[in-house]
Amino acid sequence: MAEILLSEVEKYYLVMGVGQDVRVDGRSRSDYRQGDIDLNAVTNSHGSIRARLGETDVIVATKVDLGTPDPDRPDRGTIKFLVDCSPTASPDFEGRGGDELAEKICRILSIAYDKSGTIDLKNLCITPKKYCYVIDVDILVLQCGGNLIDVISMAVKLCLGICELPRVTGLRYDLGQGVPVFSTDEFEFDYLDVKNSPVVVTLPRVGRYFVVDASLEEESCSKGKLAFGVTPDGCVTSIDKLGRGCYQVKSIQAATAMASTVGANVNNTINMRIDSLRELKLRADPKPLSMPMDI
Amino acid sequence: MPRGKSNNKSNKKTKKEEVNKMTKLIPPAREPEVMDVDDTGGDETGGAAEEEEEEETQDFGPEFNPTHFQFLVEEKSEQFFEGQFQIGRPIRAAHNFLENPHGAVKLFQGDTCALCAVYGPTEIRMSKELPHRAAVDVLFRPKITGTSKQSQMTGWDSTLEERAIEAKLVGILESVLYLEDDMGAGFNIILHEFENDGCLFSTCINASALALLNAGCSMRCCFAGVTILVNETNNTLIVDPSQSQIDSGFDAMITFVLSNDGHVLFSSIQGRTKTNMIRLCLRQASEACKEIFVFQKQLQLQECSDFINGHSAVKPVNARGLKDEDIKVKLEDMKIDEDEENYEDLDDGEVSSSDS
Repeated sequence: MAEILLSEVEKYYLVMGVGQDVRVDGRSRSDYRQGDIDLNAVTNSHGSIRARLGETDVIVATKVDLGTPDPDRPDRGTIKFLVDCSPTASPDFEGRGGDELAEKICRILSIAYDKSGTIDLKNLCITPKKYCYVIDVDILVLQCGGNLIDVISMAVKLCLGICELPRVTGLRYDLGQGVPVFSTDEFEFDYLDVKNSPVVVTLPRVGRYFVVDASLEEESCSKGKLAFGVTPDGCVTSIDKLGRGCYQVKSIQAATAMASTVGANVNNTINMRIDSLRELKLRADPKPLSMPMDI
Repeated sequence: MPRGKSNNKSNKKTKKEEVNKMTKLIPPAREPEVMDVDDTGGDETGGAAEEEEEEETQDFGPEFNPTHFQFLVEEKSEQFFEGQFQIGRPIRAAHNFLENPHGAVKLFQGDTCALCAVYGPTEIRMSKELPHRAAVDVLFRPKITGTSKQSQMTGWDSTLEERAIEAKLVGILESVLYLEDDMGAGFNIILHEFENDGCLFSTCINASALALLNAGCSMRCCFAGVTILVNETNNTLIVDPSQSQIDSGFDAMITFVLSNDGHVLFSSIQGRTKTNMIRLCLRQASEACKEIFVFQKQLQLQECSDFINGHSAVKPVNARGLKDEDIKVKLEDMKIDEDEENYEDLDDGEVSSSDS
């Protein structure tokens, strides 16, 4: 990512402003920037979302496939994450340049989803030990305007919420092996229950305070960040320290309290948005009706 | 949970004050409209002439959330500009797709869609620097990346196709851009494929032309690319064919890149055909390209008027939707703590004695 160069005076202004709870763009320390959501950014997926928050722009697409479960966990499906930093965000991301950042984000997401038990992966199992749903979540980072991990986690939650899992209508017996058969009807699908899945809230420390949704300038003035995975009821599922900086135990406690209230609010907004998007999908479906309307 | 410092309490007080401020100043919530993107998937020759439309920018107020969360506004973020066409599939372009790159454009030719972002002239890696002129680097990212099992079995490496597209585009751009003006600099052109319904290469060329114009790079001429399908059995020429037309067989597929001062910048042919057919194709291609140049000009005018009228890509970052007059901070209210006057140097990284 390109380094933001700020003069000493600009840094002073920024840090002092944060201390007075008035940031450079007028927000308070716990305010998010305005964001938009676009559905169906990618056509050949089971669900895709383009999410923007300020200047950060991310496209997330999910694809559902049939696979075999992990031998250690035979009654669960799997969710795999792949992050791709496009060179449109910065020419440094070309080739191997963006891999480090991508791997970091991937790790945070997998820990938040696989190990915390907030999505019931048992729902993704079709036949224990043999067949399960494998959900591939692909994330493309188009622009990075600060607070990348948060936007990605929000977009992933939205995308998993509107992902259409094709329903299994039965088993086809092929030489004694039962292979699941999927329904070809567009309307026969299930949604994943993502009500309890976590959202990451990154809190960089600017001066003596933590800020929510930092822009690139604020991140460059910060001493390290704490990334919390927070569920809708305010529970913290993971904590990651990123960057350089050290904290006293009291600071971590204060940050945890802030992250848990902010994260709970974000989760509720996203849960409401998922419900409205699901309704929208049903209403706007252009599939032609088999019977004319005026009968 | 033990409370942190007094900072926490002051945090909570200001939160309450904010919520009170919010309830007075937020305008009443407006019903957000959901607009469908005009999906015209024309794939016949001489696609119907599209009327010049521009999608109006709708101003939605932020959703009123009692928990003072003013983000995730339901707004139509992609505004498409459509052009008038007689030859070739209808073209739509979203010119304010990304803000960070110097130039960015998302272009639809019928259903084929490509995104192009341009950085230039800018710094590039030492290994790619050239002493006497600027370097041009094109990156093409197809929709499906990675080596699939199919390619391993058939031996056809799809990455070669990607490199071929990149190399062709570098050749075209090196003759169009004024490279001697910026020595040691570099132009980075990044192409993303979103959808391939035939003629992806010419879509990429047109997208990069628009993106370079959007970035304001100095060019010797404007250029446009067009693909033509030749079917000698039916004696037909199809300009800008869709994938289904390509799949139903052809004798030759010719791609031309033409400049607006009448030069041919690039041509490639796949298949076999007679020379007078090629001349015919060139004539058709120049007609098609003329329309694309008109579209480019109209798009530039549209961008300028958007910028002047304030509908440009850079949106106000005010999270609460408040106008600047409403945020009144009195100087007396701003008390500077005595400790803060001696703020620690941000570079040394040591933790202050009174850590928050």
